[in-house]
Amino acid sequence: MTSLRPFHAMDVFKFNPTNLDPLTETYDLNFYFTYLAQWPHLFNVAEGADGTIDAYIMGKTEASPSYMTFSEHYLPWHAHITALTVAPHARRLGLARTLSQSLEHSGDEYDAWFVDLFVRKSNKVAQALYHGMGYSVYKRVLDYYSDDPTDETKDGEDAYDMRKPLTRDKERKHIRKNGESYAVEPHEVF
Amino acid sequence: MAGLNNADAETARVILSDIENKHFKHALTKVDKKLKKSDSDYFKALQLLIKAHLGQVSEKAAILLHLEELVLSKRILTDLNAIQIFDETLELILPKPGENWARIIGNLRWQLVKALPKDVDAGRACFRACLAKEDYEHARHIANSLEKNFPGTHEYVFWNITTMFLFSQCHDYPDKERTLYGALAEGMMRKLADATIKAADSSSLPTRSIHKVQEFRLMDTILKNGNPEKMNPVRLKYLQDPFLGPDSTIAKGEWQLWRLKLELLKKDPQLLFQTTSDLLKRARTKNENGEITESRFSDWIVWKSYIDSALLNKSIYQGEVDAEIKAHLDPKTGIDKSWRRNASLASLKFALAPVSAFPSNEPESKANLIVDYLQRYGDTNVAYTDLRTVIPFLTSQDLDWLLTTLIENSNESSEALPSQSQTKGTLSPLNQDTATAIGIARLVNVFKLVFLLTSSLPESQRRLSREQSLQGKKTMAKCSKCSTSLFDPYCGLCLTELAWTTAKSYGLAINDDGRITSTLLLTDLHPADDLGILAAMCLVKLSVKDTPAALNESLDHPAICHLLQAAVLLEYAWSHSKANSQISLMLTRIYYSLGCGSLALRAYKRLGVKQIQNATLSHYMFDGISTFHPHPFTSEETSESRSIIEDLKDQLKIYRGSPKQISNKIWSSFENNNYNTIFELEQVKKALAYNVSAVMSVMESRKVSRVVQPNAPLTASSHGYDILREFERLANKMAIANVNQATDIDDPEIKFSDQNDHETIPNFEVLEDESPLAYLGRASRLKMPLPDRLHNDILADKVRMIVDPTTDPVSRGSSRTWLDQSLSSIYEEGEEFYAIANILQGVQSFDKILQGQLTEKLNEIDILGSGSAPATRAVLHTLYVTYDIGTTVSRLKAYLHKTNSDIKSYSSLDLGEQLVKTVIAKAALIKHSLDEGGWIDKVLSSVFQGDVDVVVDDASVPGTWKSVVDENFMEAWAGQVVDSWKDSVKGFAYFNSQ
Repeated sequence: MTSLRPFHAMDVFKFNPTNLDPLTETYDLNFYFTYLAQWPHLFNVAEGADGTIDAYIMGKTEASPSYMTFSEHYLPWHAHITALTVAPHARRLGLARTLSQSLEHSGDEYDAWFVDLFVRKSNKVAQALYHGMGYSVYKRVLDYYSDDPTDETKDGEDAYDMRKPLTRDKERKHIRKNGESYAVEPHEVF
Repeated sequence: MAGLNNADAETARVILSDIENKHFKHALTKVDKKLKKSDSDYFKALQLLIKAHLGQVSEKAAILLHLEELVLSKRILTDLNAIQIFDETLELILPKPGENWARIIGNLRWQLVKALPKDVDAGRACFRACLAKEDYEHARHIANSLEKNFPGTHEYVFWNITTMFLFSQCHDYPDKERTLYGALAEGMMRKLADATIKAADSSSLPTRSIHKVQEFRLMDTILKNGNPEKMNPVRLKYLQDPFLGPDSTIAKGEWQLWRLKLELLKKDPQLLFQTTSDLLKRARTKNENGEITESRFSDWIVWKSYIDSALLNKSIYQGEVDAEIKAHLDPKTGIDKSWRRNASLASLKFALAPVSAFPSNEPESKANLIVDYLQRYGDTNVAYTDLRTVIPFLTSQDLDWLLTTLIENSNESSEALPSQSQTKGTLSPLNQDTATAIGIARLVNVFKLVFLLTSSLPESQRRLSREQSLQGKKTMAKCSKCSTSLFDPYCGLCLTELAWTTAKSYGLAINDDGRITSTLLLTDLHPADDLGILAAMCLVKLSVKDTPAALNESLDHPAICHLLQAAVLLEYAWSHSKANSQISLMLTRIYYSLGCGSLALRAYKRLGVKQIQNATLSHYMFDGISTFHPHPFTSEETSESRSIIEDLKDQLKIYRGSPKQISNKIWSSFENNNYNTIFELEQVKKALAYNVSAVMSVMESRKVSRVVQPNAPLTASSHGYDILREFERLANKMAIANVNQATDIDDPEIKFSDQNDHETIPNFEVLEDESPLAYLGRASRLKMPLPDRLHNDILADKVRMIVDPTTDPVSRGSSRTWLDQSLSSIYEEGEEFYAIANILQGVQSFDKILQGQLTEKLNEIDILGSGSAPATRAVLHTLYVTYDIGTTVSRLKAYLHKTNSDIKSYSSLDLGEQLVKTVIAKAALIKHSLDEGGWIDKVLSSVFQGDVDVVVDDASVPGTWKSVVDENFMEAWAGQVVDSWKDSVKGFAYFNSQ
């Protein structure tokens, strides 16, 4: 069964099915509660038959500060996927797609231009998922990650900043073609 | 330092710099000099702060008195900086100021806001400070002042209401006032909601009305807190309103509002059916661009409400429901697979639910529905979890058919093997698809269902039938698969067969010459993992029927043998799928029961537990560690030793650091107008403050210290005991409520918080408490659940503090006071420390009770395994506990002698020394036995010879093992088990008869 509900603060005691997976980071409580305090409507859980947390998504809405308005890296009001995780037992059910769509829906409700996220350049599975959902690469952030799980000899890995335009962006002005070849340094990313 | 002139500000900066650099005497000289010239509140506050830094206990009392006089003088301080310094001073002299804060600083802050009502910054700062200290009384006054003095600010209306509600929920305030402010909050919210409805236009809402969905949710939380009979219709009224409800502009599509509405509609099934029917239609309707934009209405909550309401009048709704399900399942509709699965499950539930007038009474039709669902979703891990919820609806006849069908379908060529007589056929691994990930996933679901049908689901029915049989009412039940009469609550023969069949299938799937395994990343799970886990689960289930008594037995006892078999199978599985946390969790528990401390820790460390997970998972490893492996663990990688106390100290960090973090986020929630988050965060704060895992960590740390550092005196607050004051206060409150049978026993304020995770560990049973792993945990650890046990742990700790000659007088005095006040009301009889505590209190009648208990302990030690038995958890626990009791009784005797008590009246006290000596002798015997050779062969023999009569696909158990686990792996593992046992008994070296 698939059922969505808002993440409740007490869920930090129940998210081991997702967070014991080595690909999911367990942060300091401050991190989760910052999102709950500011964007509770963008923090949702997919619940299993017996109330198990099968997956969750954390997101936020934001824009670059006003002093960056004329910078080429200025980010207009948009929704951002901070974390999206699916427990191993609940994979291949389409939950990542379902949760992403719920965040896109909220992005539309809050008048965002687009939804964006960062994904490792090596994570082809995730990129394929997002491509299939209408996301495209907007830019490549050089050495955004401090490690490279596919190559222990490397100290870092690039990230793709992927975007999906929302209803507000009728002219599709916040996406671009061949974003893979548009490289920026990490300090240029807000 | 706003408000100071430039010269004063400069002086203050210099003084603060001195304070920061701990040059307190310099700072005091400067501040005294300054105060000779001016009568500044700010510098007076600094003077007090410096004195608090410098002060001894007596001076601190004087500072507290000075602060109290500030309040009593009724002089209003209008310098916020000065109040903040006073706040810091109080925190310094009373690290947990509690109600003193509200009485002194909270009061000063409120008086300042009252004097400067238009100073919004001061108001907000004081409001924040009061919230952080849970001083809701003054926070309420300040929020009210902000609302009244800034009538155009929309958010202050909700700050005021939220604070009133927080006040009403806090049990520290008088009931009458709490009720009053709860009612006020409710009344104000309803007025605001009515104003929104009246405005009828979201673009021109008045200040005093609901503007945002977060405000609506605040109202619903407040209303939900009231009497459901009275409030639920009100909640529903607002949820159905077009200007407030889930389809309103202010709702912004917030899904939670629909969840609330559907929950409330349950009282009106007809309306619920109509509402959910509309939602399901919307969920599959495309917009003008041909897109489905409201697919979220296919949520299981909607389907469940739809089916449940339809089942109440199935004959009327049958056609409509079937059509809706069909529409959702139609691939042309274009609904995503995650939502489509809900329609499939709804279809099953509708057909199988007990009220169902199923069109055909032929059992195979129902079995086929399950099989059909498996064909659709059998390649996902959750198919079994889904089906587990509907299978209990099937009759015994249905279940028989299903079992037969599953077994036949799982064997690709079922005629390859002749069925055993009187059985429903046999699962045949050689005839199953173990070559592809999808084939394996399907097989996993079939095996789990067979487990459910043969050894789990009927368990409760069989238990009932056995009880009836014992009462002479009915004959014994028979196994639904092999027709054997059942004496146990499940069929041991079929479970054994399933264990080995599953193990064999696992072996075929995992030993694949790299077909699947070579394609997996380090972070991937192997698709066959659940086969290995299920096989191990069957073995654990076979083991637990003989525990706990059997855990003292030799290695060839079935209970030990099955646990060893489960352990090696899981260890092998882990070597192929290192990211699988379920394997590591199971191994932690199994090794713990076997007494292999170092291997249990190794499995636990593989989980990578961190942050809040310490509060939920640490019980798997550290609950009872003091009577299991109190001595340091040696790291495999670095060969360095690490004390258990260090591990436990790390765990306590989460409890120390979180209250401040959460308070900051509560403030942030106010600032961002997310009011519901405030109540959720309050819940987390309480859950951590009263957390049983925190108490466990402190208690275990103190107990470990007493074993490994017997000469290091403990104080009343060492090893983190200071963070338990809140818990202790609650323990007393709870006990008093228990004794008085008070009506407020259900009050959440007097309940401990058990957030230990018992769900993440695998469980294929219908009910959690029937999980073999849960049973193993209970059997091999301690008889009572953790929260109950902690009462006795606190009592035992107080007793040890009193009789321990190294305890300082202050700590002994506070322990004695605690015992005087609490003993009569708190603890259950039957525990040795309860009897010891009563003797300490001079209750002579407990001498006989204690004597009986100690004699029983001596007998326990006498029959404790030795020679052929390893040092299992049960053995270790009995030895450590008995040693602790013996030592305490000896110390009690010495203490009473020293205090001139009449020890001749207490003959039980003579048994203390005898207990200690007996434990030491038995421990030496066990250690000596382990030092002898041959243990690796004994382990291997136990693993190979258990269930030797079972035959799977013509192979016996030894043959099956050879096809599953590599021989070298098995031998290396057996060596690790024996080394771990040898490591476990190293702790015996701390036993001392002196």
